[in-house]
Amino acid sequence: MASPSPEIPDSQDSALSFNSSIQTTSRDDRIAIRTALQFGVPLPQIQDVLGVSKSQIRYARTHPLTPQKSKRGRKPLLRTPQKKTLETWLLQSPSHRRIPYRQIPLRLPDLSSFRNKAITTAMRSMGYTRRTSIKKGFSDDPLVIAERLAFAEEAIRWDRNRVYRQIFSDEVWSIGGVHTVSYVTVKEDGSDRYLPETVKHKYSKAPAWMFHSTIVDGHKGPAIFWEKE
Amino acid sequence: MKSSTYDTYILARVQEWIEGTDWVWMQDGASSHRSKETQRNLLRRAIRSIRWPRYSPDLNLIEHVWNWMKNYIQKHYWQARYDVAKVPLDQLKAIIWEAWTAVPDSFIDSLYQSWWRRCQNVIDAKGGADKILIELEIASFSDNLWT
Repeated sequence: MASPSPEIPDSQDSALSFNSSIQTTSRDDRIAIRTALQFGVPLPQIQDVLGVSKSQIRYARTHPLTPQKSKRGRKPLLRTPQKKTLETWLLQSPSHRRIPYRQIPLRLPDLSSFRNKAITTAMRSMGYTRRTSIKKGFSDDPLVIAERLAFAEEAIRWDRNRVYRQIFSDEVWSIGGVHTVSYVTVKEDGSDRYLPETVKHKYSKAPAWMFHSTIVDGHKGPAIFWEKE
Repeated sequence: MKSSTYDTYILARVQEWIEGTDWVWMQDGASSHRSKETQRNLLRRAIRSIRWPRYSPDLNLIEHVWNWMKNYIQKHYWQARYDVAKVPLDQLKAIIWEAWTAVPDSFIDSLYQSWWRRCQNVIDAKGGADKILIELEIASFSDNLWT
């Protein structure tokens, strides 16, 4: 006769039943709990209807509905007053928008102890970012277009002698710096992208040389410098 | 630049320079060039000039010389590019003059020879912005070196 198999307590069953009673609440559950609390539904009734514990109700009442992961990590180094100082300085002059973040501590004594990363974080938190500077647009004025076309149609018929008799002249301000892509600090949402101070900037107060020169007959003509007034 | 400054610094010298030649002066649409005072000064100084279309740097051959000079300076003077504060204004003047002197006549002659092609580009674009104009805008107006 076979001996009866020993009775083994079903620990897994009890574990399952135990776990099922402490299911975590979803965002929808927590919204439901909050709504019920706002309408003054008694706690036992909330527990019965929604199948949640007292601690889950307490948690839903006192915590954000979703985890606030963005609040983790080291706090920004620049606090609100310093950020205000930074924004005020930025908007003081169009030229300030052109200055790279890394050079701002050198030009703003109040922020001289901060570095590039801290400035970048503060700027981003205020909604600013760096973008390539938009160039002055081409004229789409029909009169200008007609003028250009009429001139080109006439000038293409010039003979070699006429072209080489033509003096070409222009002047430029020279103040130093790169002549490739330049960047400007603007709002990330694009709200100030097309303001005059972000699109085109004249260095009216910068010390500079005006250089005017000419070419004619396939050669260089006279050129002249003078200091900016 | 004021019209009076333009007359003193530029037109007075142009008058001397072109005397006895049949060269024709041009100027872009800057306000000091368009002013009535400048128009009067051109007549007074008997400088033969042509009406230049507005917003047409692509047709002004010297604009391409600026680009050549900018590239020269960026190639030879890294400090003028990256650390402007350390380049005194006098040195900047010397650098620009060096770049101007370095522009080869063959390059300027090639610009003159490209005249008809540039006109054709404008005609092909029906007077609008052609490829050269766009390239010029990108190269010339985005920078700090020249404004």
